[in-house]
Amino acid sequence: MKDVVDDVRAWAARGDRVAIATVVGVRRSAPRPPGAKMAVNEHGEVSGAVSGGCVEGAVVEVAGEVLKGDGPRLLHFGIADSEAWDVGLPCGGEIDVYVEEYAE
Amino acid sequence: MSAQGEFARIASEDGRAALVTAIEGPEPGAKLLVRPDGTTEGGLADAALDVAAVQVADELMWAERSELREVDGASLFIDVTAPAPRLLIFGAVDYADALCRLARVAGWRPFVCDPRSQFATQERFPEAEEVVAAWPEDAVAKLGGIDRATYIAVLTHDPKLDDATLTIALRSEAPYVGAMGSRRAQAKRRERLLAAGLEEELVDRIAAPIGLDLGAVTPEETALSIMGEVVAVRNGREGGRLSYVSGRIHEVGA
Repeated sequence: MKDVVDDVRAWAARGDRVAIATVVGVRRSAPRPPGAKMAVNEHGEVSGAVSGGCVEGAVVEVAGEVLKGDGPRLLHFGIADSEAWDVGLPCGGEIDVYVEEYAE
Repeated sequence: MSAQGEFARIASEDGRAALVTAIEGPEPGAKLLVRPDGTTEGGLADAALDVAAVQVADELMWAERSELREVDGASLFIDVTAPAPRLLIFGAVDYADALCRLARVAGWRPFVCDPRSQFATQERFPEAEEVVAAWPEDAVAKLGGIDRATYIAVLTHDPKLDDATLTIALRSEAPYVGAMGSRRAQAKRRERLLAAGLEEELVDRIAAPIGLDLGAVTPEETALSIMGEVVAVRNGREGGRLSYVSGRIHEVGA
């Protein structure tokens, strides 16, 4: 939380809607551990990361949908799941990412 | 303020807390904030689940690990924020300065305590978060007590001061209490503490001689060996060479 908290609180303080994506599960070798976070505000500004850069683009897209009021989403990324997501991790790991709107 | 907002506030102030989110459960998305003193904000829409979640949150906020857990049929993500661990160094000796520097580099917060005020100065230990010139009991009180994230290295080289420090440290929740000195010095120390009435299982907690077996000679090498032991203890490891063992290099999520 610490790496994104300053941006999240600053964005919320100026009235932006903010989505937070959190790594909640990892299998095999994953680039970031559970708890790693990326925050996205309604203008598309990004802070932090949930992987080594491989899935951030897809997460930003979902964050935009969440900020439209779609409710929280649980995403799965990994080489074994190419049907659901076109995005994989080059390290061969798998991660689950929970995306929700931040409530101050 | 929401449970999530409170968690963000605590994280921004470098405090300790756990935020439990129901990924699946009676109310998906519901949140419960748990503080170290057991107080909470919010809830998971089920009183019994809240009670179970508080227990898991307390465990993980001190293990300093965020984790997904199945609790009473619910899928809970426990998100943890914690300050950098503290290393309390007793003894304002040369080795303490090297240990402060290495602790800093490793992301720890070193503190130096010694009643000998001519030695216990901030100038001698620029890397220390705080230097406290006081007897162990007062020093510990001034630093807010010893919690489960406080590691202790006793380097005083003075039996009276050593014993006073160890008596407090061994009775505390500190996961690690190391003491500098030879095996002979440790044998004598052990006898003294037992004679003073300290329970044997507490005396057995002392990590002495302090440090990993690096053959360290200089203060810097010795500090490296102590930091190595402290990090290994924190991660539940033995501290051997990775090339000699199999298994995971680090815990997932550590």
